[in-house]
Amino acid sequence: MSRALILGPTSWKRGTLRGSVGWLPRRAVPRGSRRLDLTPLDLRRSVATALASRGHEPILFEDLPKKPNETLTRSFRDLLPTIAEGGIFVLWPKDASMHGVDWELGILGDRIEERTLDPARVILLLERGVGRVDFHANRFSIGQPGSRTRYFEDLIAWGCPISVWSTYSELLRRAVLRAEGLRVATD
Amino acid sequence: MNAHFMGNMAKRRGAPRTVDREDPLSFLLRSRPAQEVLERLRGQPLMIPTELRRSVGVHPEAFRRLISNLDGYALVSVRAISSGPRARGSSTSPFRVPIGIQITPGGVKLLEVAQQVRQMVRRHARALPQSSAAHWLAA
Repeated sequence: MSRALILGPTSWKRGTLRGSVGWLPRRAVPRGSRRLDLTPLDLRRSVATALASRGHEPILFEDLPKKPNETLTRSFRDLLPTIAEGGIFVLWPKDASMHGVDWELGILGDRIEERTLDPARVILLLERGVGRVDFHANRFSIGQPGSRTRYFEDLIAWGCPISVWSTYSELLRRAVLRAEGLRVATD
Repeated sequence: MNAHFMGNMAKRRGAPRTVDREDPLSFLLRSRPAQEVLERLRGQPLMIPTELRRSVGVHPEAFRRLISNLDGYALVSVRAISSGPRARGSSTSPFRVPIGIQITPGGVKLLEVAQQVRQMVRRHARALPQSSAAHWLAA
């Protein structure tokens, strides 16, 4: 079993409504989710459910029990070495508010710079429309001016794999296959 | 992949995508260009997409779909070529980086399996129906 940390936004940008959990496969709907108002956090929980169904151990930082007197920073720093042989998935759906994720992404960038985290294990899952891979011009670009985070750009610049998805089912499948690929790489 | 789990999500119109229908090994055995791309990438640190496309001789749109499928199966990774800090631009201008394509460790292992399967089929060529032999034993 390999551990997979799933990072990403929790909410949409103000005024955005991106559909319902009814769009998700029934088995991927997180327990207790309402039928409406699918949030980016719901999406991350769906990725977690998909990974768990394939024998991985998904982790959402929000759900980790916090020890008394331990700061969030310490808790996150302690978590990262336990993922060394697993993977870290950074999810970026279109129209999501990414600013709350800055802090986690900054620590990931720090670990990559320190060479204690392999960038190949940090998978960036972007929805089509957020980023564009142009094989003709040999380049990748992100739009979303004013919304993207500089730390995310750092992770891209450090060579973390970029995977662009179009539908929620494609997102789940890509996450599952990436996790399986990382497990193969470790075996 | 669990067919029920992944299947009932396809509420869009049109035929299901390749990655909806197949597993990575089936795809690799069926797609000669996919195998060729992985063979070119094996042992290379990172390849420029246009160079890779020209070396395989695939139409640009077919190449885009091919890499999208290979990436979807986690057999290749698309990532920035420059691995390090870069000059800061304005936050209102688009962020652009040069990219390359790399085979993943899983891709290397699956390519080996696919090649062994092909070798085994060649060894049993006489047992194959003619149509299968024409497909599998083609250069």
